[in-house]
Amino acid sequence: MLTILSELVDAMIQQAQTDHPMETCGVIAGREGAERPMRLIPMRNVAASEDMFMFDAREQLQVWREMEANGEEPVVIYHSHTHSRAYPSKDDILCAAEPHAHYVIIPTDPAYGGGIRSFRIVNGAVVEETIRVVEQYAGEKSLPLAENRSSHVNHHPYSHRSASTDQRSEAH
Amino acid sequence: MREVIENMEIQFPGVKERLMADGKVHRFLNIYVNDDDIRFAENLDTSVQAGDAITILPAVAGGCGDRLR
Repeated sequence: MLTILSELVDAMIQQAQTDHPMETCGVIAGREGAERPMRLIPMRNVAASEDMFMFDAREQLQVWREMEANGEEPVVIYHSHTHSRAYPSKDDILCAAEPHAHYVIIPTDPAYGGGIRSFRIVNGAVVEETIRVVEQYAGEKSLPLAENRSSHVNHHPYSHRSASTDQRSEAH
Repeated sequence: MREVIENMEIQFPGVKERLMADGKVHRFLNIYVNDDDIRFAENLDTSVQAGDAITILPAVAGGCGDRLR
């Protein structure tokens, strides 16, 4: 199961809609081993295509180094399907190299309906998992960092909570 | 770089076939010497100096098509 903040889901959907009909892509980093997606990093799609995405190798090196320096790992790797259902394609399965990552697909063509879906892909085997969208992760305190609300969209720290959403809990 | 991989194979048997086939780096693998992707240098002939950092990352790609095979 993928447990993820609603603001991260909204940000992925927004990015996919903005880039439609081109496929969009990105990664959400989280503390190593914690299974909590926290920091959303949209990536450039160097394929700039309606049926393919590819991270820019240089940008990927930078981001992966940043994650390593922060003690993070890629918890979610996401991309959009702009003309098909949200299910891993042959290309997605061929290229899935992170057995611990949650592969999230965002459909942007209303003809294929549905919301985002998440998969584990290991050695060519695809297993869909449920997605639990929460307002706040269990055990996280409410956040003092609202003044960062205007920060750059490229780095989307989990800290943009309003006073009212802070009081909600995923336990509800 | 080729020599580095050969030396790694001696220390970690099996690693070479994870990195290359038919004398070439696997297509969906990025190898960097310091900040540079060796694809944009001299590939496996890229020279490596003492103190250089080598990074190996799986490329992240896919999409709704069937174009990558």
